[in-house]
Amino acid sequence: MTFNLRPLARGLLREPLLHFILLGALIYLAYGLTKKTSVDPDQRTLTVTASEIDWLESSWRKRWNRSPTPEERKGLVKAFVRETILYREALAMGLDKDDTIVRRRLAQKLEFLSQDLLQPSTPSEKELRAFYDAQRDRFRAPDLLTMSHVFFDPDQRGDTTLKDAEAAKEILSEHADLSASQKSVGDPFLLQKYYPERSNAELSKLFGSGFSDAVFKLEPGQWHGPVLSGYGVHLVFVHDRQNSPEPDFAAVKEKVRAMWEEEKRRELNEAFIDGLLARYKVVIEDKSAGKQATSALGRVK
Amino acid sequence: MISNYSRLSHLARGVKKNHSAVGRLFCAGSLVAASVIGLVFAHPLGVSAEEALAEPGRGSGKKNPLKNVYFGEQHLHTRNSFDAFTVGVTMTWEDAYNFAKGKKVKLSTTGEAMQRRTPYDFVAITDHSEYYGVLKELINPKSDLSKSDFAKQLAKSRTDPAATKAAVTTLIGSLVTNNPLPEYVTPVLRVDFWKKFQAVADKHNEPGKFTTLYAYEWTSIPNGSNMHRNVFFKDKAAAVPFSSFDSIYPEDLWTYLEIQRNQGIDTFAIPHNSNVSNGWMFSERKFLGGPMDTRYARRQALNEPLFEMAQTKGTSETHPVISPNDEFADFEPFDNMISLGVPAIKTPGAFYRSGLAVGMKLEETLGHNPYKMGAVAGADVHSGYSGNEEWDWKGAHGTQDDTPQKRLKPEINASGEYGFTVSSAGTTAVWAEENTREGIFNGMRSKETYGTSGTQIRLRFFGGWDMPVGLTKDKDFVKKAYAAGVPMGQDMPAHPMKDLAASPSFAVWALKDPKSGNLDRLQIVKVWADPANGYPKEAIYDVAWSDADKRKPDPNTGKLPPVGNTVDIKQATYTNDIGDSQLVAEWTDPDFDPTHSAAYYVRVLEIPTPRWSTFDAKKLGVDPPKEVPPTIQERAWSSPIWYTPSAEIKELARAQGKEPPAPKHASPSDQ
Repeated sequence: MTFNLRPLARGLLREPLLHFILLGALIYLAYGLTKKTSVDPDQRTLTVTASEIDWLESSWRKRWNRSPTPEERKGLVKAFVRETILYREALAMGLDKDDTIVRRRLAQKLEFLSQDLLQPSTPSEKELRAFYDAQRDRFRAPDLLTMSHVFFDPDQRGDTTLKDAEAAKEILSEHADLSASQKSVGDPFLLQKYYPERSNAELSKLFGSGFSDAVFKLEPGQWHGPVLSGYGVHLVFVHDRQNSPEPDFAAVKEKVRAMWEEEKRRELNEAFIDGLLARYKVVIEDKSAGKQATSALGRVK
Repeated sequence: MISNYSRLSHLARGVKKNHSAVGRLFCAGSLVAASVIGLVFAHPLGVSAEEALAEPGRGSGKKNPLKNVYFGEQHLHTRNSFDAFTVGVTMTWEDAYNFAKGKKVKLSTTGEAMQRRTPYDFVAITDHSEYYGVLKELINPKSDLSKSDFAKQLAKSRTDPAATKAAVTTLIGSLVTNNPLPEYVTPVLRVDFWKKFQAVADKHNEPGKFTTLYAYEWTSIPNGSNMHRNVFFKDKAAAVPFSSFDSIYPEDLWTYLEIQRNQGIDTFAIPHNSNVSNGWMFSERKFLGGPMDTRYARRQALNEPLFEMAQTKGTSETHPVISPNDEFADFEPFDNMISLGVPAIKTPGAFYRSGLAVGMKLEETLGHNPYKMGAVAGADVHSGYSGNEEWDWKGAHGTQDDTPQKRLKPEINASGEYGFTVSSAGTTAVWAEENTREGIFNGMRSKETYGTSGTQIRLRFFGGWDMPVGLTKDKDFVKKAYAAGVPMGQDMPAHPMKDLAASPSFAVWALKDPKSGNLDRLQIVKVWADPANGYPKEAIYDVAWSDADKRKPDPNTGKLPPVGNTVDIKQATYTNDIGDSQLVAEWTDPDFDPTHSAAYYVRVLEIPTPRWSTFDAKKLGVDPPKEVPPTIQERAWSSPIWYTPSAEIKELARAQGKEPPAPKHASPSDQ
């Protein structure tokens, strides 16, 4: 069994009471749009300044490579007036509220304008010393490795590359004159055969980080390998590894000062944000517990 | 994600099971076997004196006469460029240096953390000298400038976005129309900021480890034609940077450079983006009109030894319109004029390759080649970082393109382009005896340089008359090559004159970036001006290629088949199962004409790898944009080696009645 709702709907549409209600709602909306949230009367004068007209014209010239005609100029000003009025009305109606793009843009702007306005003060000797002591390792020079190597080219040797390298290691290990024996095995390679006193970072630039990490673990005084790189297969002789000692404070003082200043500048920038945060009481609702957690400091971690 | 080692790990599997882990490159099993040998202990530093000389130790303070290659940046903007400032960039000089050194840095517009995989050896930050440092001062309450009307307008922008836009448009508009706002271009302001820049550069300059050069960009853009130049200094900087408000004419910039050099301040300039110069960059005429004269040609060559081959606004090597037979010419083109959205005019004056020929043509009549330029490449990124990696591209223009969504959006952005047509940054490689300001600057001025599309391929290129056969197989290759010939960027030694049939020979060696794709092929590009009409001519020779056992040139067309493509577009991955680690060639020009000039440069191609837009598409889970290729072949371009006939050679040829006709070229790339 079904009901036919159509006659009922038609009846409703003819109902004067419904008309009345709809009309009332419309008037209420119109009132809301115009009266309640319109721009203050004293804000209703819109002056287009000479400098504003100047930039309208210069942006036109940038785009079209010529000055606007009087007609076009009128159009530019008209469009500008239109945009300004829409903008003011939109502000008055609160359309900037809860708009992700507007929020982000304004936040970015303030962050941008507040960067690096404050300069750090001059640090005392004691401050620098403490800064240094807290992170001595950052000022230590990197460990250095001295190595020779022989390359085996997989593009030339194919599947026998590793086997060839293993066999060559036997030969190399039996010869006393390193540089002569190095020339007798392996394939031509563009990089140097010998690298003295290189840091892990420097060897990584040359051979890739897999290779540099591997050779820094090798014992000095013998041939090792095969070690693989992004190029192919290597045999490696480590001559020496120097572990750098901790430097004298006096020797790195300028570096410490530079780092201290850099860090302080970052802190000052952060402090600006923190200062703003401190003015707020931040309440974060915990959805699961149905409770409210309050952070007195306002700093949200 | 990307396995550079796939082929090797496969290899390793064949020998021993425990070698197969891709991440563990070191074969522990072999270590034990070798540890018992005692002989070598008797000679713990068994290195010959000759090798020790070639590679001096760090503490020795000695230079490497065989030179090392240093990779770096010679074109980068920070927040101190007015246009970077207007797109929300807050990256400082410090940030840019730290990123180049391999430290972790945050992208200023998004806060995204980023870190280079391979640190750079040197950096030249080149902020625009126009409104140098002005914008930062306008919002600094301590500065006098902040009290001007314009600054108040800018200050108003804290609450009124329309005011910001007004301020910014005023600035950019004044540059294009060359009507500076007078109070913001005072020398006092520029000098002060220039000194600040030098102090920060000095702080980050560590001789032997990391070099920072004093530099800035002179931004002449008459009627939208790009005539930009970056200006570099060796150890002392000029008192004031020259700006396009001082003059938009290159000749005035040269005068400025010459005045500096006369005062003992060594300097030169590098132009860029000939691709959007409307054919002005390699023109046969003077900038202010009239045919070029000898003095102009000489000054051009003296002041501008290098050219920027590639950067985010595309590649300027050549274009399919100029080189229709070069199947690799269509690489990262950037067709439209900057900010104007109309195509740039494609004439021989707009591209490097044809520009080399224009230079040689002018040399015939003027006695000086104005366009004897070596090759470099750069970023021109305005977001304060050198983004040369496809998988790590974070956009070039601040808030315009700092997310994958914005970059792939099929809408024209404020620069008059689709975000995805922008290229990731290029890289400059300099052969130098040491990594110091002097080393890098001198290496650049002597043109022993090459540019890359961002990869760190190592490339050696030598030319001479009697390069020993088998030189590249010699384990002292580099030393003997320097002795027998000249490196990239130089003139061929004088013709031996014994035999007019003598032909120049070349040795090329390329080694892949250990963290990038394998190599596809080595090409030598020969450029000359047609003796009949002066029109640019080119021939491209494939001189070495990978997988040579399987790839043979087509017997009919002479074309080498493509290397293949291992890219998984959906996943944005590739494997190094194709291509070679290094490519080596010895080559003699088969069509040499001793009576006419020619330039030879090397182009090295990598195997196809995903373009940055393909990595972005993967991040978003969408298809890559159809308008750009999903894969690219990264590459390196060497500085040329030039041959110029002497008067004696021409005389000899005439005497022997051997004024040869225009050379014939069998190569398929001949046009």
